[in-house]
This record gives sequence, structure tokens and C-alpha cells, in this order.
Amino acid sequence: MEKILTLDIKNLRLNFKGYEGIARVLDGVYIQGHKGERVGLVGETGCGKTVAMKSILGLIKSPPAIYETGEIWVNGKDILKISKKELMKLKGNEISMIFQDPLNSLNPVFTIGQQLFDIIRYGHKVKLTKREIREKARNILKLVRLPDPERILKNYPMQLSGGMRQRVLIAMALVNEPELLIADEPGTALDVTIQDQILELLKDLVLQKNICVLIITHNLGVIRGLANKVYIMYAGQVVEQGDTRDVFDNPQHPYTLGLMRSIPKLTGDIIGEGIPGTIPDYVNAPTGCRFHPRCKHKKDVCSEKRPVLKEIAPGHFVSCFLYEE
Amino acid sequence: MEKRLLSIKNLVKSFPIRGGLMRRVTGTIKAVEDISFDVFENEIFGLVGESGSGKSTIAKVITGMYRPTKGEVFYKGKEIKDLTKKDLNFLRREIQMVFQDPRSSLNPRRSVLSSLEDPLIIHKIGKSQYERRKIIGDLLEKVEMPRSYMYKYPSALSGGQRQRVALARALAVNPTLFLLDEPTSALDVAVQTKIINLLQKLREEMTLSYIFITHDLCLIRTIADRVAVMYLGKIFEMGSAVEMFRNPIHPYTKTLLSAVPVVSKEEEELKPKWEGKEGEPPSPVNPPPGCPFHPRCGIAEEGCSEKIPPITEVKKGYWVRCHLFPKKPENEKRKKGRKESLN
Repeated sequence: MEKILTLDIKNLRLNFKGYEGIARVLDGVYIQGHKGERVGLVGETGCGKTVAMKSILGLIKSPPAIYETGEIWVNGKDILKISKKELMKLKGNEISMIFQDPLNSLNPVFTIGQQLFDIIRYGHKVKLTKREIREKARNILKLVRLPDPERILKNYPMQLSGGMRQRVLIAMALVNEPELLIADEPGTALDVTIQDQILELLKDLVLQKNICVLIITHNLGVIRGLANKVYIMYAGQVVEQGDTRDVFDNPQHPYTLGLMRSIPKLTGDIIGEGIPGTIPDYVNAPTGCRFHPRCKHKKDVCSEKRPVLKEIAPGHFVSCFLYEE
Repeated sequence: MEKRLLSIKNLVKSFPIRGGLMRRVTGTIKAVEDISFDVFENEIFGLVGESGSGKSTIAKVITGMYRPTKGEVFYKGKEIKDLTKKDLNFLRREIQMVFQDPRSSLNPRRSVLSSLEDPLIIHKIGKSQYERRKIIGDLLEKVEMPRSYMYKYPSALSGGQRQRVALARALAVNPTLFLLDEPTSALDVAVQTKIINLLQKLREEMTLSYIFITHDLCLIRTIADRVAVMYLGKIFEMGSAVEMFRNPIHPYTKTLLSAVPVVSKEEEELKPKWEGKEGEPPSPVNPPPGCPFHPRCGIAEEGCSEKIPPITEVKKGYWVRCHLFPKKPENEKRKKGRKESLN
């Protein structure tokens, strides 16, 4: 069976012009997501994952941003090339988004129903009658396992709990049957038990609808539970990529290793030393591999040129000179 | 026998709900209820629970920010309520708190030096400015920061460094008990690791005790000696961390543990089978009757919705609040009522 490529980011280099100079934020990022795949993008604060996500949605204004190279293909269209009008059509229909904070992404002065109806009305090419819209809204709320959809449509966001709001957001994102769903830190604002329920629901729905999801988070545990493919990002570069199981059971890049050792475990194993140093400044980013100033296995070559991506096991790629012999 | 540092007995803290025309008291929220625990010297005591379970209320009662509605808090054998003003000053030196967000707990318009100098001046440590600077320099070195950083402002520091400054400020007055309210949840994992390692080192060097409040179960497992799991203002399970994570007893603890996102296969195997039901924690204004967990509990029986179960000692030093445990010795359960409390 041939896989359909839904999301394809190629060699994205994104710079921001500021007072101090040019900040090279994304340095050759690539991400691929096929239909039915759950792709995870992980990294620490400030590694560029949010910038990458925003550029998929065309939310980064240029200027100040400068796209040096790169293409972002969603469903056969290059986001960076198409007109604003086409992009508007794409958003909400083919691409949709679940934001991190369920409280701030719903409008507090409109009922859930009003907000949901709008999304359905504008997302459809054919004009729907009021009854059809209502029917659709009710069905989608049922799908995200919200009890009593009729009541929820009449409620204001403040009347719902955090978990319910997150469910409403998932419903809003899925109601127009998108091809690509972007989830930014899904459930991290919620308690563990609720987070677990939300992630389970998201996984079910994605499998059921057979769409591509891009999950952006700093929580490795969430990625392991939800994604089947993972990209590890450090300072605007993808350092490791592969099947979730391969990457988690057998991490190869020194950064991934350091990250995995830093996470407190349920087994109570003593956590490692952490990774020395901090994320670099993007204006004077380190040359070559951006991780080399913090790396234990640093060689001379690391600061001279960028390591190429190397396939160390089928489908498991690492960008590090340790594996380039 | 280990020395008892802090002991809390049958603590209740409730807040009035005001409403109506004259802002009359229309009801009360019991933020925490029937809380009893001890903290021993040089121990890390973990408090875990979901949001709204009352973890921070306990911390605020211990530091004296809230007065307990009922119950007693003893520090080194003395009840906090009975302390004289002079003693209270001493208590405030002994118990220090570190907050979650280092960005908002440091004043952005004051340098590290001036933030750290305040506690020294208030508690009359160091006679001259010169001496105080020397102490501050030593403090910064203790939290593994260069001395020269005392002239910096919080905006020039990273999140991890700010949290180190917050730690240094708490250390300035030589405390014995630290209350850490989610000290690392605003930080990245790699930074968190360094702070945790620092906390471990400080505990050994200075014989500190920590009360560690967090919602991160993996973190608690890694650093705490004993853990109390809270739900809707009550302790549901309390005992050694090693035992609890290997063999959790209360269905709520099991629900929590089974929901933790983990990163390896070994951890996956440690997770207990889910015994809960889908649902959300109820509001503390209208807690369900009986055991507050019963609507979400997978093994709830009829009696669970009638009476709040007492907390009972199932093993030595291991306490559970559930009608179904311990199952067998029925009369023994009655003998050891909750009145007898922890000993």
C-alpha cells in the first residue's frame, strides 16, 4: 500500500531579523507525516518547535521572519507559495489545530454552540441549513464523549471543566474533517488522570478518521503514548528521528540520551547529571552541529560542519558525527 | 529512632463561601480535612495530588500564611499556635518556602544581591554590609552559581538560575525545613535534573528536610522517602515511596499511577491496572457523600457512598483511607481509629 504524504516540510531555514542581528531559528528542519500517522515533535523550551508549527499554519509574518530556504507541503500545496486567500481556505478545512490552553482558546462571551456552529458554517463549501449544522455539532460532541451535547451547546466555556473544554476543542478541530491535525501540548494544562483520558480519546479519533496528526510537546511520556513516529529537535535542528519505539528504547544522539536520562522514572532510578550548559543564543548560534558545546563526545569536526543524517537502523535516523565513519 | 520535626494532627482548613445581598456566609469549602502526618529530620516528604486536592493549602498552613480552622501543627514539639512573637520569628527562620514560578517570586527591579540581602537584614545575620555580601557570595556558591551573579537582575538569568537564586534566598537564614511547592514544574527536564541534584546535595550537606509538593509522580518516586497521596482535601494513601510505587493499595493511587505518561518499557510494567472510571474530580464545594472518590472508583461497593472511610494503618507506617482495606481483621480496624493518629 502506498502511503499518502500529508505533511512534508523540506529543509526549512527560518531567520528573524532583530536588533542584535539575524537569529537563525530554524536550521534545515524537515518533517514528514503520512496519512494515518501520528508524528511527534519533541524538544525543550526554545528549540523552535512552536515556530515550526506556526509556519505550517502560515502564522509567521514575513518580515520580520525571513524564509531562507524550504518548502512546506500540506496535501500537495506549498504553504509558503500560495496566496492568502487559499491559505485561509486551507486552514480550518484541511489543517486544524488544538491549542494547549483550553481556557484561553475559547471565547468566553459566546456559547459553545455559537462557536461550533460558526466553524461548521464557514468550513463547508455547500450551504447547510440550521438543522444540519446543529445535527453535525451534536454528533461531533457525542464523538468526543461529552455527555448531554444539547446542554453543552448552550453552555458558556466557563461552565465547563478543563477536561470538557479540551474535548470541545478537539471536537472543533475535527468537525470539518481535516487532513492534518496539529496538537500543541495536548492536555499538559490538565491533571494526569484527565490528560490520560484526553490522549486516549485523541488516539482513538485519529485512528478512526485516519488522518495525520502532528503532536508538539516537551513531554516525552506523552509522545511515547501517542505518536508512532518521533522527531527530536534541538536548537532549530532535527537531531534524531525514527519510530517511537526505536527512538525511546534505543536513543542514539547524545542529546536524546541526555534528555532520556534526565527524566525522573517510575522505577525510581537515580536521575543522571542532566545536560551541561543551556540552549544557545540563535544570533550567534554554534557552527556545525549546534549541540557540540554541550556534548560529551565532541570532536574537532563537530564545530566545522553539520553532520548529515545517517540511517543507523531501518527508519531510525541520527544526525551526529559519532555515527559517521 | 528518627527525630520528628514537624507533626500535623487532624488538621482542617475551611474557607467560607460568601454570597447573596449582604455577602453572608452561605457555605464552607473544606480545603483540607483530617490531615495528620509527621515529617522527620533529614527526610523528603512528598505531597502529590491533582489540582484542587489541597496540597498548597497544607503548605500555607505550615508556613503560617493560613490559620488552621481545627487541628494542631507542632514544630519540634511546640504547637505553632502557642508560640510567642519571638518564637514565631525563629519559626520563620526555620521553615522556608520555595515557589513554583521563579519569574514571579523574584522582584524584577531588584538585583540578586538586594533580594538575598533582605532576609539577612530582617533576621540580623551579618553585622556589616561587607559581611552580608560575603555571606551572599557563599550562598551563591552553595547553589552552584558564580559569585559575580549577585550584581545581576532576574531578567538576565535563565529559569534554572532564577530558581537557584530563590533557593539561595531560602537558604540564607539557615532553615531546617523547606517547603517546595512545585519547584521544578516551570523548568525543562534537563534543568529540572540539575535542580533536583542540587536539592539532594543540599539536603545531605545541611541536614535539611523537605516537604515536596508536586503533581509529577515520577519525580516524587525519584526523590521522596515518604509520600502522601491527596484527593479532595484528604490523604488517601501514605507511606514509603518505594512501597507505594511497587504496590499501591488505594484505587485512586492506582488510577493516578496508571495515567502517568512514561518513557520506557520497565516503567510500563510497573504501572498498575486501571481501576478507575472515566470522570473528573468533583468540586470541593459539593463533594460526593461518603468516600469522595467513589463515583470514579472501579471497585466501589454500596457502603462507599455512605460514610467517609477513616485512614487506617495497614502496615507499619503505611496508611490507607479506603473502606475495602484492610479487608479481613474487622475488629482491629475499629480499634485503631483515626483518633489515635500517627505514632
